[in-house]
Amino acid sequence: MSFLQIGMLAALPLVLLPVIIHLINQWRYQTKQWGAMMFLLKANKMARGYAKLRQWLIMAARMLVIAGLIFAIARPLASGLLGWSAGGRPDTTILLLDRSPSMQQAGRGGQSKLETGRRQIADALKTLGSTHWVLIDSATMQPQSFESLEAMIDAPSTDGTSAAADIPGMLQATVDYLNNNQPGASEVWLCSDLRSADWQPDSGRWKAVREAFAKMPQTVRFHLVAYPESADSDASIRVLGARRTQAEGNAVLLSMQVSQSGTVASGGMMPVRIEIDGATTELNVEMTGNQVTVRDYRVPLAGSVDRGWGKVSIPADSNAADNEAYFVFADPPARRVVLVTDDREASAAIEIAAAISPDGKSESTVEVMAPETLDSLVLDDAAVLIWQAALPDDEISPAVKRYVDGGGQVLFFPPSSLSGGLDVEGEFLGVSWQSWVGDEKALVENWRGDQDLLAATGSGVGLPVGQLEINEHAKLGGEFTQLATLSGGDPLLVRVPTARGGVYFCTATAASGQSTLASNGIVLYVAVQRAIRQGLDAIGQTGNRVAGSTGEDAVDEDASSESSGAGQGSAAEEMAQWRQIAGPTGVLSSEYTYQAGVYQATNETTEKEQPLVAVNRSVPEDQRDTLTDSQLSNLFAGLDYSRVDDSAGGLEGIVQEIWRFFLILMIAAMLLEALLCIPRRRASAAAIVGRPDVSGFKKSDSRSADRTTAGSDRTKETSAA
Amino acid sequence: MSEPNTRSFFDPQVVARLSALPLTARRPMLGSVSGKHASPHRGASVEFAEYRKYVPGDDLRRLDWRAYGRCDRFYVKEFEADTNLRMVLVVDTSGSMDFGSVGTTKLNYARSVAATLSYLAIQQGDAVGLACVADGIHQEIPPRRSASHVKTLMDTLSGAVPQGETGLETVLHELAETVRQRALIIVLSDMFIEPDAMRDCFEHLRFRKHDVSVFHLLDPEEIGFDFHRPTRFLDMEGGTAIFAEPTEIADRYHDALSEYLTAVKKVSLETAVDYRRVIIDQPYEKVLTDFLVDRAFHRGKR
Repeated sequence: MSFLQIGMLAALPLVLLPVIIHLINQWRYQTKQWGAMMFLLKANKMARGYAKLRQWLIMAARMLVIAGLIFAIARPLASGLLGWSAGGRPDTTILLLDRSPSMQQAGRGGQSKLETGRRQIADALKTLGSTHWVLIDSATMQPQSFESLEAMIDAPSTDGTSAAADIPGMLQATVDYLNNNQPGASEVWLCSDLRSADWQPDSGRWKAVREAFAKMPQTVRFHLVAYPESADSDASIRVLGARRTQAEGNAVLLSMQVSQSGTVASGGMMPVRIEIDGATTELNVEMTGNQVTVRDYRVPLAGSVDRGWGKVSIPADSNAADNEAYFVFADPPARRVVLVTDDREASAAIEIAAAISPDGKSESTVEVMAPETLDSLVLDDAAVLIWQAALPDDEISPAVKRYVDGGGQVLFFPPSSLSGGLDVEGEFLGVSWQSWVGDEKALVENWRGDQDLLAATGSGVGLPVGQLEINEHAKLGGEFTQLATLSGGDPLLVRVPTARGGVYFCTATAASGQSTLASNGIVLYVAVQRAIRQGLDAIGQTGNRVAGSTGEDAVDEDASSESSGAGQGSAAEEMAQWRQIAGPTGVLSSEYTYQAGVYQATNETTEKEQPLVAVNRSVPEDQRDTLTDSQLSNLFAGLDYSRVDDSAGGLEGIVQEIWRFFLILMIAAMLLEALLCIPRRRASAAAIVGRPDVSGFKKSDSRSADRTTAGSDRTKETSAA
Repeated sequence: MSEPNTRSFFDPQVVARLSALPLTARRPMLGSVSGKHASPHRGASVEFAEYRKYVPGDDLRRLDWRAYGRCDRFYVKEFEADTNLRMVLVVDTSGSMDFGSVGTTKLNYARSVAATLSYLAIQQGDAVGLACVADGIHQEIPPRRSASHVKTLMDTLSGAVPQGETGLETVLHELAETVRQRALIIVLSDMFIEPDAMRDCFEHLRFRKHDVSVFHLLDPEEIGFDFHRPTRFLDMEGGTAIFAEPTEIADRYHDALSEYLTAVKKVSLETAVDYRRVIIDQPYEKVLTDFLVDRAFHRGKR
């Protein structure tokens, strides 16, 4: 329970006032010489349990009256659980708002969890008051200060988005804010639906966050307003992939997944509406389970349309945020690989690996160039540049760097001169070939199997990197990240950190006798193909992004497994130039990256047509499991935390003033006290002495003796004179 | 409250007004001289009693010659005897008798009643004795009928000091044995003894053929018990002090008082005691008037 006027509680000692008055009254006793002690002694011996109880009850009632009055004036508050810890007006109130799509699940009256949470928290905070308001929303995770509660609640950054929430990240942002601003007593209100995907209970960041809060000098209290209830039945749809094909006519092959929570009626049909460039197609998907995947559904395209966007949607249900998914399609760029080699024989295996497309249908072009013919080097539409020659000199180096900055991928292999025993000069991005190790057979000791070129496949099977035998290799100088390390510590494959694009150095050639890269060609082929894929993504005309991501997380199923995580430093700048092609209306441009839709950047400088980008919610957002109570308790272990569960559309406030209750309590106590204080009907003095006609003794002088006459049993009463 | 050693308790004007009323006994008395009260013996009063056969030794002067003339037999004519009475005033001088909330104390009130009654009795030729009692008989003056005896009585009453516990039951038993038979015993006390003990005393006195009258003196404050502040009650008879919240204890006090008074009244009825409950804010003249008038109506039969 908390109080709006907590200072009034300082008056609580006044509750002892009746006791003190009683004691003073006792202390002020009078002394009386008394003759009729035998009656007093008899009265003392009589049962006095009720009299004692009555006295105690009167005392308790009086204390209750004062306590009720003080509590009523202190304006107590109660939540649904009466669980708010006592406290006064906080210095800073921080609202952590989960804006993820799952929070847009509607409840009673069509009000979503997010709207209900905003309204109820607004009511609660209006009642509680604060001097400073800070909002950290799940999309931007940037603290925004507000002067008033109304401004915070009405801010555009409190609307729903398609971006998933990162609750530990939001709490980390809270820690950073509190550390940077050092406010006084703070309250953190967290409004969420407790989805496990958003809360990431297994994340190691929780421990760090808890420790950071525990170390804070100021009081930080957490109030969790949770909406864990799930909809009885909620369907969602997402696009797994969209690619244009010209086989049997111009069309888009669309792969999508429809999932549904709750009980699914056997043989139920789910109508799916597909919209491409204004043309609508409807498809009925038979729901044979909770999740149905439709692969390569052919949607014919009109005429010569070679790029565009589309939208798939299902009928409205309890959550509108997962009923739509956007996709973009275009002709895949040509698989053009530029191979610069000074020894074509040594790079023959690389050339072959680059020339064979993974699907066997796409045409791959490998353009082999000698170092002497680099004047004609054109890298604009190259998917990847493979360089097995001396590092680019000052003349050619700027072109290669420009290519890398544009997202291009470059693979460097040792030049034949180095393997011939000659020293090679030059460096690229601070990395240079050092010396050749020719007589030391080495195996790959470890490699990064979780990401980048040597990552395991989508099915989880690792590449056979450990089977490679490296007989000769080069040494590298400079700063780089090792992706594979040989026994002895020398690197086999490294990545040079860049803002965008990928620059890799492989220290062994594919020449027979120097390594088994060619004979055991799987590793070489996969690495080259992944580099090509990354390059194609960079130069492609379309892109798929997860809402709220910075751009490198491709949503495409295949791409996600082969994603290299290549840095795309200018992604944020590019996103800033987006314009909305399709998506919800009324979205601020600053929120484009968090809202599902189709966007396209406008580059006024180059006037180059930028690729279309489809933004959709993340895959985990469709996982409906929520945190258990024990998990939640563990996450907030050691923190001052209270929780109120509510449901979407709930009409009752989560915090209510209950001073009326105490006022009624006070009145009841007063009535009880009055009832107990009613004096018992005493036998009048006249009745005691047997004279019913006499009302008092002191006022009347007309009384005569009460007489019993012996022998006659007759009592005479003398009348007033 | 201490009583000044004066005779303010005796008012001659009250005595003058009451002197017209006779003090009579309710039963025959055995006096030593002729008086106004009935005697169980035959005497020389003007009131005819009976004829009795003459037996040798009878005074020939009391022979009824007319009867002899009519029936030729000797008869003696007998008359009722009138005698005086012995009145013993038992005045309680225990500590509780010093209580009074109406300008006088119970002891002072008892002094007034006792002095007036003793004067009236001696005036009509009765013998008056006095016993000042508390936990025992402190002072005892045997009954005498001389006029000078009034002074002795007044002095004794005036010098009575209220102190000590109430030991009335012992005292009354003792008086029942020591006072000669057929006396009028008037008890002036607050009677703070148990009713059962009171019953024994009265039955003892009745057995000794005494005519017992009780003036039960009570103060209005003792009945009303009208206190509002916590009070420490000090026992005037030297007992344990009691601290009490009057508002809390008043009900039970009244219950105890009421129960006691009912029992006392019952005892007095059963033992044929002339019981008079007197609240000391009443004028004692009025109380005595009622007492004398009532007794005159119920004068003792022979």
